[in-house]
Amino acid sequence: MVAAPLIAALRRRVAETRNADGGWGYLAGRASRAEPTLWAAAATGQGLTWLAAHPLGWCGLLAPALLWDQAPGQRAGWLRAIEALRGRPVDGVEDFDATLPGWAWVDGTASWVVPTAMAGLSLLRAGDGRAAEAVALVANRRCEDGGWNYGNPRAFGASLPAQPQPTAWCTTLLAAAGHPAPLDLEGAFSSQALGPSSLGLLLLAAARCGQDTAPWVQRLEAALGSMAGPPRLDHTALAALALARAAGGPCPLTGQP
Amino acid sequence: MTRRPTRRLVVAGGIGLGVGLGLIGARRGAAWLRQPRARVAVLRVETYDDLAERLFVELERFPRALERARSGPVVLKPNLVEIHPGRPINTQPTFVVAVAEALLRHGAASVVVAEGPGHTRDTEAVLHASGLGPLLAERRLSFVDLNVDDVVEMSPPFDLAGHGRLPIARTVAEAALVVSLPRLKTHHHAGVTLGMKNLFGVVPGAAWGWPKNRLHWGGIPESIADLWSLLQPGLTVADGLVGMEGDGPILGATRPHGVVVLGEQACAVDATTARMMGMDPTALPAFQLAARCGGTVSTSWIALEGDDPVAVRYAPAPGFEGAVRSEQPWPT
Repeated sequence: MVAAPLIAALRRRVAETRNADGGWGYLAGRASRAEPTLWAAAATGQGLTWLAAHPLGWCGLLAPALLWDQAPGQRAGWLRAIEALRGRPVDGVEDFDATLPGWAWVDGTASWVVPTAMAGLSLLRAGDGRAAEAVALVANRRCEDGGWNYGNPRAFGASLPAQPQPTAWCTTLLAAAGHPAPLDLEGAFSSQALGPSSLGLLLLAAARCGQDTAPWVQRLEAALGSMAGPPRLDHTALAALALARAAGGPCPLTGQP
Repeated sequence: MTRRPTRRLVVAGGIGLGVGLGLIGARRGAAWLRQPRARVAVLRVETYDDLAERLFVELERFPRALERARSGPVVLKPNLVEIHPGRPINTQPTFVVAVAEALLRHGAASVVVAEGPGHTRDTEAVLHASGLGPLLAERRLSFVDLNVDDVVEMSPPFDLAGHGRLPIARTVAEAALVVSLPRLKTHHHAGVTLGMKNLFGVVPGAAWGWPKNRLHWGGIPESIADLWSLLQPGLTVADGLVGMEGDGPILGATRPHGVVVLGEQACAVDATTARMMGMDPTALPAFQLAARCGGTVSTSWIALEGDDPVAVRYAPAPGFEGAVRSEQPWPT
Protein backbone atom coordinates (compact mmCIF):
# COMPACT_ATOMS: atom_id res chain seq x y z
CA MET A 1 0.00 0.00 0.00
CA VAL A 2 1.46 3.33 -1.04
CA ALA A 3 1.36 5.93 1.69
CA ALA A 4 -0.67 8.94 0.59
CA PRO A 5 1.33 11.27 2.86
CA LEU A 6 4.49 10.33 1.01
CA ILE A 7 2.93 11.20 -2.33
CA ALA A 8 1.68 14.48 -0.93
CA ALA A 9 5.09 15.27 0.53
CA LEU A 10 6.78 14.62 -2.79
CA ARG A 11 4.34 16.88 -4.63
CA ARG A 12 4.80 19.53 -1.97
CA ARG A 13 8.58 19.32 -2.30
CA VAL A 14 8.26 19.85 -6.05
CA ALA A 15 5.86 22.76 -5.65
CA GLU A 16 8.08 24.46 -3.08
CA THR A 17 11.17 24.37 -5.28
CA ARG A 18 9.68 26.12 -8.28
CA ASN A 19 11.86 28.93 -9.60
CA ALA A 20 10.75 32.54 -9.82
CA ASP A 21 10.49 32.27 -13.60
CA GLY A 22 7.89 29.54 -13.26
CA GLY A 23 10.04 26.58 -14.20
CA TRP A 24 12.12 24.05 -12.38
CA GLY A 25 15.79 23.18 -12.43
CA TYR A 26 17.24 19.71 -12.07
CA LEU A 27 18.20 20.73 -8.55
CA ALA A 28 16.57 23.30 -6.30
CA GLY A 29 17.88 26.77 -7.04
CA ARG A 30 19.38 25.86 -10.41
CA ALA A 31 18.34 27.34 -13.73
CA SER A 32 14.98 26.20 -15.09
CA ARG A 33 15.24 23.41 -17.65
CA ALA A 34 12.73 21.63 -19.87
CA GLU A 35 12.91 18.11 -18.46
CA PRO A 36 12.40 18.85 -14.75
CA THR A 37 9.74 21.43 -15.61
CA LEU A 38 7.91 18.86 -17.73
CA TRP A 39 7.79 16.28 -14.93
CA ALA A 40 6.97 18.93 -12.34
CA ALA A 41 4.13 20.24 -14.48
CA ALA A 42 2.72 16.73 -14.72
CA ALA A 43 2.97 16.32 -10.94
CA THR A 44 1.65 19.74 -9.92
CA GLY A 45 -0.30 21.17 -12.85
CA GLN A 46 1.94 24.23 -12.82
CA GLY A 47 4.73 25.38 -15.13
CA LEU A 48 2.73 25.21 -18.33
CA THR A 49 3.41 28.86 -19.14
CA TRP A 50 7.15 28.30 -18.80
CA LEU A 51 6.97 25.28 -21.10
CA ALA A 52 5.03 27.23 -23.71
CA ALA A 53 7.65 29.98 -23.71
CA HIS A 54 10.83 27.89 -23.97
CA PRO A 55 12.30 25.47 -26.54
CA LEU A 56 11.85 21.94 -25.29
CA GLY A 57 14.26 20.02 -27.51
CA TRP A 58 13.86 16.28 -27.03
CA CYS A 59 11.53 16.92 -24.09
CA GLY A 60 9.00 17.97 -26.68
CA LEU A 61 8.72 14.29 -27.61
CA LEU A 62 7.31 13.57 -24.16
CA ALA A 63 5.22 16.68 -23.57
CA PRO A 64 1.97 15.42 -25.15
CA ALA A 65 2.17 12.14 -23.25
CA LEU A 66 2.54 13.86 -19.88
CA LEU A 67 0.44 16.99 -20.38
CA TRP A 68 -2.23 16.09 -22.93
CA ASP A 69 -5.11 16.93 -20.60
CA GLN A 70 -3.42 19.84 -18.82
CA ALA A 71 -2.45 21.84 -21.90
CA PRO A 72 -4.93 21.35 -24.74
CA GLY A 73 -3.89 24.63 -26.30
CA GLN A 74 -0.34 23.40 -26.84
CA ARG A 75 -1.21 20.04 -28.40
CA ALA A 76 -1.03 21.07 -32.03
CA GLY A 77 2.34 22.76 -31.63
CA TRP A 78 3.79 19.80 -29.78
CA LEU A 79 2.63 17.31 -32.41
CA ARG A 80 4.18 19.44 -35.17
CA ALA A 81 7.44 19.73 -33.21
CA ILE A 82 7.67 15.95 -32.84
CA GLU A 83 8.30 15.66 -36.57
CA ALA A 84 11.41 17.87 -36.32
CA LEU A 85 13.19 15.17 -34.31
CA ARG A 86 12.88 12.39 -36.84
CA GLY A 87 15.97 10.21 -36.81
CA ARG A 88 18.38 10.13 -39.72
CA PRO A 89 18.86 6.84 -41.53
CA VAL A 90 22.20 5.15 -41.02
CA ASP A 91 24.04 3.16 -43.68
CA GLY A 92 25.81 -0.11 -43.24
CA VAL A 93 24.11 -1.30 -40.06
CA GLU A 94 24.13 -5.05 -39.82
CA ASP A 95 22.52 -5.79 -36.48
CA PHE A 96 18.99 -4.43 -36.94
CA ASP A 97 16.69 -2.75 -39.46
CA ALA A 98 18.01 0.79 -39.72
CA THR A 99 15.42 1.68 -42.37
CA LEU A 100 12.63 1.87 -39.80
CA PRO A 101 11.80 5.49 -39.03
CA GLY A 102 12.07 6.68 -35.46
CA TRP A 103 13.01 9.64 -33.35
CA ALA A 104 16.29 11.15 -32.19
CA TRP A 105 17.59 13.02 -29.16
CA VAL A 106 18.86 15.86 -31.34
CA ASP A 107 17.82 16.89 -34.85
CA GLY A 108 20.02 15.47 -37.56
CA THR A 109 21.10 12.39 -35.63
CA ALA A 110 20.09 8.74 -35.54
CA SER A 111 16.98 7.18 -34.00
CA TRP A 112 17.25 5.69 -30.51
CA VAL A 113 14.75 3.65 -28.55
CA VAL A 114 14.11 6.05 -25.66
CA PRO A 115 13.22 9.16 -27.69
CA THR A 116 11.26 6.91 -30.05
CA ALA A 117 9.31 5.43 -27.15
CA MET A 118 8.66 8.93 -25.79
CA ALA A 119 7.36 10.03 -29.18
CA GLY A 120 5.29 6.87 -29.48
CA LEU A 121 3.60 7.44 -26.13
CA SER A 122 2.78 11.01 -27.08
CA LEU A 123 1.42 9.99 -30.46
CA LEU A 124 -0.69 7.23 -28.90
CA ARG A 125 -2.11 9.74 -26.46
CA ALA A 126 -2.98 11.95 -29.42
CA GLY A 127 -4.50 9.12 -31.42
CA ASP A 128 -1.93 9.86 -34.12
CA GLY A 129 -1.16 7.09 -36.61
CA ARG A 130 2.56 7.80 -36.48
CA ALA A 131 2.57 5.90 -33.20
CA ALA A 132 2.70 2.68 -35.21
CA GLU A 133 6.12 3.69 -36.56
CA ALA A 134 7.45 4.10 -33.05
CA VAL A 135 6.05 0.72 -32.04
CA ALA A 136 7.63 -0.92 -35.08
CA LEU A 137 11.08 0.48 -34.39
CA VAL A 138 10.95 -0.39 -30.70
CA ALA A 139 9.82 -3.93 -31.49
CA ASN A 140 12.69 -4.33 -33.95
CA ARG A 141 15.33 -3.18 -31.45
CA ARG A 142 14.42 -5.66 -28.74
CA CYS A 143 17.42 -7.45 -27.22
CA GLU A 144 17.73 -11.20 -27.17
CA ASP A 145 17.00 -11.28 -23.44
CA GLY A 146 13.62 -9.63 -24.04
CA GLY A 147 14.42 -6.11 -22.90
CA TRP A 148 15.99 -3.07 -24.52
CA ASN A 149 19.42 -1.53 -24.51
CA TYR A 150 19.86 2.21 -25.09
CA GLY A 151 20.14 1.75 -28.83
CA ASN A 152 20.81 -1.60 -30.42
CA PRO A 153 20.07 -5.22 -29.61
CA ARG A 154 23.50 -6.16 -30.92
CA ALA A 155 26.69 -4.24 -31.49
CA PHE A 156 29.85 -5.38 -33.27
CA GLY A 157 28.56 -8.93 -33.36
CA ALA A 158 27.79 -9.18 -29.66
CA SER A 159 24.36 -9.49 -28.10
CA LEU A 160 23.74 -6.59 -25.72
CA PRO A 161 21.96 -6.87 -22.38
CA ALA A 162 18.76 -5.06 -21.53
CA GLN A 163 19.10 -1.87 -19.52
CA PRO A 164 16.47 -0.73 -17.00
CA GLN A 165 15.36 2.64 -18.31
CA PRO A 166 15.18 1.82 -22.04
CA THR A 167 13.31 -1.36 -21.11
CA ALA A 168 10.87 0.59 -18.97
CA TRP A 169 10.12 3.10 -21.71
CA CYS A 170 9.73 0.49 -24.43
CA THR A 171 7.65 -1.84 -22.29
CA THR A 172 5.29 1.00 -21.43
CA LEU A 173 4.90 1.93 -25.09
CA LEU A 174 4.23 -1.61 -26.26
CA ALA A 175 1.75 -2.23 -23.47
CA ALA A 176 -0.05 1.01 -24.24
CA ALA A 177 -0.25 -0.08 -27.86
CA GLY A 178 -1.80 -3.37 -26.85
CA HIS A 179 1.20 -5.67 -27.05
CA PRO A 180 2.07 -8.14 -24.28
CA ALA A 181 5.04 -7.44 -22.05
CA PRO A 182 8.04 -9.43 -23.29
CA LEU A 183 9.95 -9.42 -20.03
CA ASP A 184 9.36 -9.97 -16.34
CA LEU A 185 10.72 -6.67 -15.11
CA GLU A 186 11.39 -7.71 -11.56
CA GLY A 187 13.13 -10.86 -12.67
CA ALA A 188 15.29 -8.89 -15.06
CA PHE A 189 16.37 -6.05 -12.80
CA SER A 190 15.74 -6.99 -9.17
CA SER A 191 19.42 -7.58 -8.46
CA GLN A 192 20.71 -4.39 -10.08
CA ALA A 193 21.49 -1.16 -8.30
CA LEU A 194 18.88 1.31 -9.47
CA GLY A 195 18.37 5.00 -8.81
CA PRO A 196 14.99 6.63 -8.22
CA SER A 197 14.49 7.51 -11.89
CA SER A 198 14.87 3.90 -13.02
CA LEU A 199 12.67 2.69 -10.17
CA GLY A 200 9.95 5.20 -11.02
CA LEU A 201 9.95 4.28 -14.70
CA LEU A 202 9.98 0.55 -13.96
CA LEU A 203 7.08 1.03 -11.56
CA LEU A 204 5.09 2.77 -14.28
CA ALA A 205 5.98 0.06 -16.79
CA ALA A 206 5.03 -2.73 -14.39
CA ALA A 207 1.72 -1.06 -13.64
CA ARG A 208 0.97 -0.53 -17.32
CA CYS A 209 1.49 -4.15 -18.26
CA GLY A 210 -0.13 -5.71 -15.21
CA GLN A 211 2.99 -6.89 -13.41
CA ASP A 212 3.42 -6.71 -9.66
CA THR A 213 4.22 -3.16 -8.60
CA ALA A 214 4.85 -3.83 -4.91
CA PRO A 215 8.58 -4.59 -5.26
CA TRP A 216 9.11 -1.36 -7.19
CA VAL A 217 7.11 0.65 -4.68
CA GLN A 218 9.23 -0.71 -1.84
CA ARG A 219 12.49 -0.03 -3.60
CA LEU A 220 11.45 3.43 -4.71
CA GLU A 221 10.35 4.42 -1.20
CA ALA A 222 13.63 3.11 0.18
CA ALA A 223 15.63 4.96 -2.46
CA LEU A 224 13.85 8.23 -1.72
CA GLY A 225 14.64 7.84 1.95
CA SER A 226 18.31 7.07 1.50
CA MET A 227 19.49 9.47 -1.15
CA ALA A 228 22.75 11.23 -0.50
CA GLY A 229 22.92 14.82 -1.65
CA PRO A 230 20.11 17.09 -2.77
CA PRO A 231 17.29 15.25 -4.57
CA ARG A 232 16.74 15.74 -8.28
CA LEU A 233 13.45 17.54 -8.82
CA ASP A 234 12.57 15.59 -11.97
CA HIS A 235 13.10 12.37 -10.00
CA THR A 236 10.94 13.68 -7.16
CA ALA A 237 8.11 14.54 -9.56
CA LEU A 238 8.43 11.19 -11.33
CA ALA A 239 8.34 9.39 -8.00
CA ALA A 240 5.16 11.23 -6.99
CA LEU A 241 3.49 10.28 -10.27
CA ALA A 242 4.67 6.69 -10.15
CA LEU A 243 3.59 6.13 -6.55
CA ALA A 244 0.22 7.73 -7.29
CA ARG A 245 -0.15 5.32 -10.18
CA ALA A 246 0.62 2.40 -7.89
CA ALA A 247 -2.03 3.70 -5.50
CA GLY A 248 -4.65 3.45 -8.22
CA GLY A 249 -4.26 6.67 -10.15
CA PRO A 250 -4.02 6.93 -13.95
CA CYS A 251 -0.82 6.28 -15.82
CA PRO A 252 0.83 9.69 -16.31
CA LEU A 253 2.33 8.60 -19.64
CA THR A 254 -0.81 7.23 -21.25
CA GLY A 255 -3.74 8.66 -19.33
CA GLN A 256 -5.12 5.14 -19.12
CA PRO A 257 -6.28 3.59 -15.85
CA MET B 1 24.72 3.70 -33.43
CA THR B 2 27.05 5.70 -35.68
CA ARG B 3 28.18 5.76 -39.23
CA ARG B 4 30.17 2.58 -39.46
CA PRO B 5 33.33 3.09 -41.43
CA THR B 6 34.64 -0.09 -42.95
CA ARG B 7 38.23 -1.01 -42.28
CA ARG B 8 39.07 0.03 -45.83
CA LEU B 9 37.42 3.40 -45.23
CA VAL B 10 39.28 3.94 -41.97
CA VAL B 11 42.65 3.16 -43.52
CA ALA B 12 41.89 5.05 -46.71
CA GLY B 13 40.61 7.96 -44.71
CA GLY B 14 43.71 7.95 -42.61
CA ILE B 15 45.96 7.86 -45.63
CA GLY B 16 43.95 10.54 -47.37
CA LEU B 17 43.99 12.70 -44.30
CA GLY B 18 47.71 12.19 -43.93
CA VAL B 19 48.37 13.15 -47.54
CA GLY B 20 46.09 16.16 -47.21
CA LEU B 21 47.69 17.29 -44.01
CA GLY B 22 51.10 16.76 -45.53
CA LEU B 23 50.17 19.04 -48.43
CA ILE B 24 48.94 21.62 -45.95
CA GLY B 25 52.19 21.27 -44.09
CA ALA B 26 54.17 21.74 -47.28
CA ARG B 27 52.27 24.89 -48.06
CA ARG B 28 52.72 26.23 -44.54
CA GLY B 29 56.34 25.20 -44.42
CA ALA B 30 58.32 23.46 -41.77
CA ALA B 31 56.61 25.45 -39.00
CA TRP B 32 53.61 23.10 -39.17
CA LEU B 33 55.86 20.19 -38.36
CA ARG B 34 56.99 21.76 -35.13
CA GLN B 35 54.91 20.77 -32.15
CA PRO B 36 54.87 22.24 -28.68
CA ARG B 37 57.32 20.60 -26.35
CA ALA B 38 55.55 18.45 -23.81
CA ARG B 39 56.66 16.44 -20.80
CA VAL B 40 55.04 13.13 -19.97
CA ALA B 41 55.76 11.04 -16.91
CA VAL B 42 55.42 7.28 -16.87
CA LEU B 43 55.01 5.45 -13.59
CA ARG B 44 55.34 1.70 -13.25
CA VAL B 45 52.65 0.79 -10.73
CA GLU B 46 51.77 -2.68 -9.51
CA THR B 47 48.72 -1.95 -7.35
CA TYR B 48 46.40 0.88 -6.41
CA ASP B 49 47.76 0.76 -2.86
CA ASP B 50 49.78 3.81 -1.81
CA LEU B 51 49.04 5.43 -5.17
CA ALA B 52 48.07 8.72 -3.52
CA GLU B 53 51.51 8.96 -1.92
CA ARG B 54 53.26 8.15 -5.21
CA LEU B 55 51.14 10.65 -7.13
CA PHE B 56 51.75 13.35 -4.50
CA VAL B 57 55.47 13.07 -5.23
CA GLU B 58 55.17 12.75 -9.00
CA LEU B 59 52.77 15.66 -9.39
CA GLU B 60 55.59 17.96 -8.35
CA ARG B 61 56.89 17.49 -11.88
CA PHE B 62 54.00 19.65 -13.09
CA PRO B 63 54.07 22.93 -11.13
CA ARG B 64 51.81 24.76 -13.58
CA ALA B 65 49.01 22.29 -12.99
CA LEU B 66 49.50 22.50 -9.24
CA GLU B 67 49.42 26.29 -9.37
CA ARG B 68 46.12 26.15 -11.23
CA ALA B 69 44.79 23.63 -8.70
CA ARG B 70 45.55 26.05 -5.87
CA SER B 71 43.95 28.97 -7.71
CA GLY B 72 40.39 27.65 -8.00
CA PRO B 73 38.04 24.69 -8.38
CA VAL B 74 39.54 21.42 -9.56
CA VAL B 75 37.37 19.01 -11.52
CA LEU B 76 38.41 15.39 -11.84
CA LYS B 77 36.81 13.79 -14.87
CA PRO B 78 36.95 9.98 -14.75
CA ASN B 79 35.51 7.64 -17.35
CA LEU B 80 32.26 6.19 -16.00
CA VAL B 81 30.14 4.41 -18.59
CA GLU B 82 28.39 1.21 -17.59
CA ILE B 83 28.95 -1.84 -15.45
CA HIS B 84 29.87 -5.21 -16.91
CA PRO B 85 31.41 -7.47 -14.28
CA GLY B 86 34.98 -8.37 -15.07
CA ARG B 87 35.43 -5.75 -17.79
CA PRO B 88 37.78 -2.80 -17.10
CA ILE B 89 35.44 -0.17 -18.52
CA ASN B 90 35.52 2.57 -15.90
CA THR B 91 38.36 4.45 -14.23
CA GLN B 92 39.09 2.63 -10.99
CA PRO B 93 37.46 4.39 -8.01
CA THR B 94 40.59 4.05 -5.87
CA PHE B 95 42.56 5.68 -8.69
CA VAL B 96 40.16 8.64 -8.78
CA VAL B 97 40.37 9.12 -5.03
CA ALA B 98 44.16 8.80 -5.07
CA VAL B 99 44.42 11.66 -7.56
CA ALA B 100 41.98 13.74 -5.53
CA GLU B 101 43.88 13.20 -2.31
CA ALA B 102 47.24 13.94 -3.91
CA LEU B 103 45.93 17.24 -5.27
CA LEU B 104 44.36 18.19 -1.95
CA ARG B 105 47.67 17.54 -0.21
CA HIS B 106 49.24 19.92 -2.71
CA GLY B 107 46.81 22.61 -1.57
CA ALA B 108 44.10 22.33 -4.20
CA ALA B 109 41.41 24.93 -3.49
CA SER B 110 38.63 22.38 -3.89
CA VAL B 111 38.18 19.08 -5.70
CA VAL B 112 35.01 17.62 -7.15
CA VAL B 113 34.61 14.50 -9.24
CA ALA B 114 32.37 14.97 -12.26
CA GLU B 115 31.16 12.87 -15.16
CA GLY B 116 28.29 12.73 -17.63
CA PRO B 117 27.85 9.04 -18.44
CA GLY B 118 27.07 8.68 -22.12
CA HIS B 119 24.93 5.56 -22.12
CA THR B 120 22.89 5.18 -18.96
CA ARG B 121 20.68 7.97 -17.66
CA ASP B 122 20.77 6.47 -14.17
CA THR B 123 23.95 8.08 -12.87
CA GLU B 124 23.10 7.12 -9.30
CA ALA B 125 23.02 3.47 -10.29
CA VAL B 126 26.32 3.44 -12.14
CA LEU B 127 27.97 5.45 -9.36
CA HIS B 128 26.84 2.93 -6.80
CA ALA B 129 27.53 -0.20 -8.83
CA SER B 130 30.99 0.97 -9.84
CA GLY B 131 31.94 1.60 -6.23
CA LEU B 132 32.85 5.19 -7.00
CA GLY B 133 29.81 6.65 -5.26
CA PRO B 134 30.34 4.90 -1.93
CA LEU B 135 34.07 5.63 -1.97
CA LEU B 136 33.54 9.31 -2.69
CA ALA B 137 31.01 9.48 0.13
CA GLU B 138 33.45 7.77 2.48
CA ARG B 139 36.19 10.24 1.61
CA ARG B 140 33.81 13.21 1.63
CA LEU B 141 34.38 14.07 -1.99
CA SER B 142 31.54 15.54 -3.99
CA PHE B 143 30.24 14.28 -7.31
CA VAL B 144 28.60 16.38 -10.03
CA ASP B 145 26.44 14.75 -12.69
CA LEU B 146 27.55 16.70 -15.74
CA ASN B 147 24.60 15.38 -17.75
CA VAL B 148 22.23 17.71 -15.90
CA ASP B 149 24.66 20.51 -15.12
CA ASP B 150 24.01 24.05 -16.26
CA VAL B 151 25.18 24.55 -19.83
CA VAL B 152 27.70 26.98 -21.27
CA GLU B 153 27.84 27.23 -25.07
CA MET B 154 31.45 27.31 -26.22
CA SER B 155 33.02 27.52 -29.67
CA PRO B 156 35.88 25.11 -30.41
CA PRO B 157 38.79 27.05 -31.92
CA PHE B 158 39.04 24.91 -35.07
CA ASP B 159 35.49 23.47 -35.25
CA LEU B 160 36.61 20.43 -37.20
CA ALA B 161 33.32 18.62 -36.59
CA GLY B 162 31.23 21.58 -37.71
CA HIS B 163 29.16 21.79 -34.54
CA GLY B 164 29.70 25.53 -34.33
CA ARG B 165 29.08 25.63 -30.62
CA LEU B 166 29.33 22.87 -28.05
CA PRO B 167 27.21 22.63 -24.92
CA ILE B 168 29.70 22.25 -22.07
CA ALA B 169 28.85 21.54 -18.44
CA ARG B 170 29.34 24.73 -16.44
CA THR B 171 31.26 22.92 -13.69
CA VAL B 172 33.93 22.06 -16.26
CA ALA B 173 33.81 25.38 -18.12
CA GLU B 174 34.43 27.31 -14.92
CA ALA B 175 37.06 25.04 -13.39
CA ALA B 176 40.54 26.36 -12.69
CA LEU B 177 41.95 22.93 -13.46
CA VAL B 178 40.29 20.05 -15.31
CA VAL B 179 41.98 16.70 -14.78
CA SER B 180 41.16 14.00 -17.32
CA LEU B 181 41.28 10.53 -15.73
CA PRO B 182 40.85 8.02 -18.52
CA ARG B 183 41.30 4.30 -18.41
CA LEU B 184 43.57 2.78 -21.06
CA LYS B 185 41.23 1.22 -23.59
CA THR B 186 41.03 0.45 -27.25
CA HIS B 187 38.04 1.91 -29.08
CA HIS B 188 35.96 0.48 -31.90
CA HIS B 189 35.67 3.77 -33.77
CA ALA B 190 38.69 5.81 -32.63
CA GLY B 191 41.38 3.18 -32.13
CA VAL B 192 42.03 4.19 -28.55
CA THR B 193 40.05 6.09 -25.93
CA LEU B 194 42.26 8.03 -23.54
CA GLY B 195 42.45 11.51 -22.03
CA MET B 196 41.09 13.40 -25.02
CA LYS B 197 38.20 11.06 -25.86
CA ASN B 198 37.32 11.08 -22.14
CA LEU B 199 36.16 14.67 -22.65
CA PHE B 200 32.99 13.49 -24.43
CA GLY B 201 31.53 13.22 -20.94
CA VAL B 202 31.56 16.98 -20.38
CA VAL B 203 28.82 17.47 -22.97
CA PRO B 204 25.57 17.22 -20.98
CA GLY B 205 23.20 14.47 -22.00
CA ALA B 206 20.29 16.78 -21.17
CA ALA B 207 21.44 18.79 -24.18
CA TRP B 208 22.62 16.09 -26.60
CA GLY B 209 21.07 12.85 -25.36
CA TRP B 210 22.14 9.36 -24.38
CA PRO B 211 24.36 8.61 -26.22
CA LYS B 212 25.68 11.99 -27.36
CA ASN B 213 25.18 10.94 -30.93
CA ARG B 214 25.69 14.39 -32.35
CA LEU B 215 29.37 14.10 -31.47
CA HIS B 216 29.48 10.95 -33.59
CA TRP B 217 27.72 12.52 -36.56
CA GLY B 218 30.26 15.32 -36.59
CA GLY B 219 32.99 12.68 -36.80
CA ILE B 220 34.43 11.03 -33.72
CA PRO B 221 38.07 12.02 -34.43
CA GLU B 222 36.95 15.56 -35.25
CA SER B 223 34.89 15.81 -32.07
CA ILE B 224 37.80 14.46 -30.02
CA ALA B 225 40.12 17.11 -31.42
CA ASP B 226 37.52 19.85 -31.00
CA LEU B 227 36.82 19.04 -27.34
CA TRP B 228 40.49 18.75 -26.50
CA SER B 229 41.50 21.98 -28.26
CA LEU B 230 38.58 23.79 -26.63
CA LEU B 231 39.00 22.58 -23.05
CA GLN B 232 42.72 21.75 -22.87
CA PRO B 233 42.59 19.99 -19.48
CA GLY B 234 45.56 21.13 -17.44
CA LEU B 235 46.42 17.63 -16.30
CA THR B 236 45.80 14.11 -17.56
CA VAL B 237 46.43 11.09 -15.36
CA ALA B 238 45.73 7.85 -17.18
CA ASP B 239 44.77 4.70 -15.28
CA GLY B 240 46.72 1.92 -16.94
CA LEU B 241 47.16 -0.59 -14.14
CA VAL B 242 44.66 -2.72 -16.01
CA GLY B 243 43.57 -1.67 -19.48
CA MET B 244 41.17 -2.97 -22.09
CA GLU B 245 42.15 -4.46 -25.42
CA GLY B 246 40.28 -5.75 -28.42
CA ASP B 247 36.81 -4.45 -29.19
CA GLY B 248 36.76 -1.62 -26.67
CA PRO B 249 35.55 0.52 -25.02
CA ILE B 250 32.86 -1.78 -23.62
CA LEU B 251 33.21 -5.26 -25.09
CA GLY B 252 36.99 -5.67 -24.93
CA ALA B 253 39.09 -7.92 -22.72
CA THR B 254 41.26 -7.23 -19.71
CA ARG B 255 44.88 -6.29 -20.43
CA PRO B 256 47.14 -5.95 -17.37
CA HIS B 257 49.66 -3.19 -17.97
CA GLY B 258 50.87 -1.74 -14.70
CA VAL B 259 51.36 1.91 -15.65
CA VAL B 260 50.13 5.37 -14.88
CA VAL B 261 50.84 8.05 -17.48
CA LEU B 262 50.52 11.72 -16.65
CA GLY B 263 51.24 15.12 -18.06
CA GLU B 264 49.95 18.61 -18.63
CA GLN B 265 49.07 18.13 -22.30
CA ALA B 266 46.44 15.47 -22.92
CA CYS B 267 47.42 14.96 -26.55
CA ALA B 268 51.02 14.19 -25.61
CA VAL B 269 49.94 11.92 -22.76
CA ASP B 270 47.57 10.09 -25.10
CA ALA B 271 50.20 9.77 -27.84
CA THR B 272 52.67 8.29 -25.36
CA THR B 273 50.02 6.00 -23.93
CA ALA B 274 48.92 4.84 -27.38
CA ARG B 275 52.53 3.89 -28.17
CA MET B 276 52.67 2.00 -24.90
CA MET B 277 49.57 0.12 -26.05
CA GLY B 278 51.40 -0.93 -29.20
CA MET B 279 49.69 1.59 -31.49
CA ASP B 280 51.13 4.29 -33.73
CA PRO B 281 49.22 7.47 -32.86
CA THR B 282 50.27 9.13 -36.11
CA ALA B 283 48.14 6.49 -37.87
CA LEU B 284 45.01 7.43 -35.90
CA PRO B 285 42.83 10.26 -37.26
CA ALA B 286 42.10 11.77 -33.85
CA PHE B 287 45.81 12.36 -33.23
CA GLN B 288 46.37 13.69 -36.73
CA LEU B 289 43.62 16.22 -36.15
CA ALA B 290 44.74 17.06 -32.63
CA ALA B 291 48.21 17.80 -33.99
CA ARG B 292 46.59 20.16 -36.45
CA CYS B 293 45.01 21.88 -33.43
CA GLY B 294 48.36 22.33 -31.73
CA GLY B 295 48.73 19.00 -30.00
CA THR B 296 52.01 17.17 -29.55
CA VAL B 297 52.13 13.70 -31.03
CA SER B 298 55.67 13.26 -32.30
CA THR B 299 58.21 11.63 -30.02
CA SER B 300 60.63 14.36 -31.12
CA TRP B 301 58.70 16.85 -29.01
CA ILE B 302 57.77 14.68 -26.03
CA ALA B 303 60.21 14.43 -23.16
CA LEU B 304 59.65 11.30 -21.14
CA GLU B 305 60.29 11.26 -17.41
CA GLY B 306 59.86 8.79 -14.60
CA ASP B 307 60.10 5.08 -15.19
CA ASP B 308 60.94 3.31 -18.43
CA PRO B 309 57.80 3.15 -20.60
CA VAL B 310 57.31 -0.53 -21.22
CA ALA B 311 55.06 -1.17 -24.19
CA VAL B 312 52.44 -3.90 -23.98
CA ARG B 313 50.93 -5.13 -27.20
CA TYR B 314 47.16 -4.54 -26.96
CA ALA B 315 44.97 -6.43 -29.37
CA PRO B 316 43.62 -3.62 -31.55
CA ALA B 317 39.98 -2.87 -32.10
CA PRO B 318 38.64 -4.31 -35.38
CA GLY B 319 39.70 -2.12 -38.28
CA PHE B 320 42.72 -0.67 -36.53
CA GLU B 321 45.18 -3.45 -37.24
CA GLY B 322 46.99 -1.03 -39.55
CA ALA B 323 47.80 1.25 -36.62
CA VAL B 324 49.68 -1.42 -34.72
CA ARG B 325 53.36 -0.58 -34.56
CA SER B 326 55.64 -3.22 -35.95
CA GLU B 327 58.51 -1.74 -33.95
CA GLN B 328 58.33 -0.40 -30.47
CA PRO B 329 60.33 2.62 -29.32
CA TRP B 330 60.76 0.99 -25.93
CA PRO B 331 61.46 -2.49 -24.53
CA THR B 332 58.53 -4.91 -24.54
